Amino acid sequence: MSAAALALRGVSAGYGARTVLRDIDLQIADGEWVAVVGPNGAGKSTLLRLLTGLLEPAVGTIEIGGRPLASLARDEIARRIAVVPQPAALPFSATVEAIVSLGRLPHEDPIRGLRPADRAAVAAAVDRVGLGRLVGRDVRELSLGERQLVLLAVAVAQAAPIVMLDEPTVHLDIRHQLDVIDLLADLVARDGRTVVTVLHDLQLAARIPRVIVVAGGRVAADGPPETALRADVIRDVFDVPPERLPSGPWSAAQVEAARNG
Amino acid sequence: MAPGRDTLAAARAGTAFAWPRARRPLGLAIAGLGALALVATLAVALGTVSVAPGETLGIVLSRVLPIELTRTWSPTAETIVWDLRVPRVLEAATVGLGLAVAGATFQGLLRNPLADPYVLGTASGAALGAAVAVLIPIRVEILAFGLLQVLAFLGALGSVALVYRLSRTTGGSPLTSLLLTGYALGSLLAAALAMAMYLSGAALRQIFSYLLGSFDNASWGELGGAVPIVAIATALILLRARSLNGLLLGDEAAAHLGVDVGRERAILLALASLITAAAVSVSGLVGFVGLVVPHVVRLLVGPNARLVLPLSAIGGAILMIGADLVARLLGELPVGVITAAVGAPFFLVLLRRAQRGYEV
Repeated sequence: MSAAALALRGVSAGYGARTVLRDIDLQIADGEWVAVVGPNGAGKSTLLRLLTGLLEPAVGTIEIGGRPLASLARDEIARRIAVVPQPAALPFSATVEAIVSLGRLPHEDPIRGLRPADRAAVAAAVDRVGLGRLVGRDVRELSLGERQLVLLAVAVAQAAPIVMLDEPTVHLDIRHQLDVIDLLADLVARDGRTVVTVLHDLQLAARIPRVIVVAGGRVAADGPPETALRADVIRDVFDVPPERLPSGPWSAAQVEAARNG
Repeated sequence: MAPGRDTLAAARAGTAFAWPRARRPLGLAIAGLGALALVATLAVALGTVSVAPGETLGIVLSRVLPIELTRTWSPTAETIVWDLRVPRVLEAATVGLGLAVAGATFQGLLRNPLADPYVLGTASGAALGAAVAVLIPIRVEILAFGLLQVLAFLGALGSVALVYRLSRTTGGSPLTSLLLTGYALGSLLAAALAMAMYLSGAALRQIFSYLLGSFDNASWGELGGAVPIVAIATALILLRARSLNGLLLGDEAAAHLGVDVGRERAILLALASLITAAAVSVSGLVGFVGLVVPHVVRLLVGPNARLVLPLSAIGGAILMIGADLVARLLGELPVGVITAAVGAPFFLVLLRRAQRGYEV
């Protein structure tokens, strides 16, 4: 079997003297789809920053496709990992097409810019995310949710084998949330990409084959939603009685059904 | 929605936007170069002393081309056209081009549509450096580069680095804190410049000319000092257009797109400061060209730095030659007065719009 797409070995990391993550050991295989959940301040964003090379671990190593992340230049990382950030303010007006074109930055010729193949990739990404009718619109006039989809299209155009998303559904209505989850499923199933997404919505996380629960700077649970999102994990990690949540892997009825089935 | 309608809408959007936008930059570049040639010709031909258009053309051609023409003009006319007007027009073009490219670079780097060498205090830093050089009674010059250029560059670089650092650590919105820091530093530098003038004695006039901004002293020698710096730094910035594009989405997003943000920012800030210093050391403080031109260009072709930078270069040259021509025809006004008269209202309009639309 080939090396894991992503591997963290004995990683601790933080900012200055403050350690946010401790002794993390994680392996994510090629073509795997992973949700990272956890309460605010648990270290989810720090984990994402580590995995994308923005933050260097204080201790331990991170490998991507068997190579140490620290040995790769930024543009080499960008050809392997695409990141969907939270929407930020744009300083200038720019069309959806112009922004999605930025996804081709790691591939484009430094002098000549986009070639026809890049433009085709941009058009395909716009279509796949369902932004076709907005392609000529100014991104600054779009809603936050639509801008989140634009950033998703940037990552699709980037065509990296690994896609990481920071709360990709937070500004979306319920239909678009489900559309994004379907799109991610498609990226995994059809393109064979590895997808890691930070989520707050546990019900969406429950649709994803592997869930990593981060709490207090450690991995509190890791596995399919039925085990990683058990009632006791929800109670301990999120400090919420599972009965207060809508139905999910943590509900008594579902646990019962799983046991009988 | 039926898939047919979706496809139709996409096709329509495609024809409505893709075609004109793909062709527009080239058309604009050609039109811009035409306008540049026109305004440059006018600026050489017109002035307080009138030289007939035919004679003007003859003088320029006889100097540029290796051919002998029958001289129908007086030596005075030749001096006016070749030694005064032509270098002045070329210097205005160089400074305008440089300030527009530097402005577009600062705006992209700092993700701020209101950044330009003047607003950020970079130009004031360069002017102060140049004034200090005038006060120091040592003359070291290698080719056309001397203490003046070096101190102007250090002044520009120092002020932009300071504004950048301070504006990141002070609270508040990035837009406001950058502008306020630039304003505060600019005022401080202006006071230092006034002090330098007070101390200057005989050199007062030279330092005063930095404050006003003009091309009165344009000469072939001065041009020789500025052109190589502006040309090389502009070319190097053009080669980094990709990094500026990446920064559109912010520092972290740019890093995710493969831009080494720290390195690229340092290089681009240094190059834009170098251009500003070269421009200021020949012309003094000419404001707003770096603000107005890139903004107009962006309205026409969008934010892609690969298009914005070269088109701003052309636009900056046109605007500066035109402003200098107007200044001369209105009775030898400093050109900074003209650009400020155009640019300051423009800045206020931009500020209003930015406050409505920039922050989320």
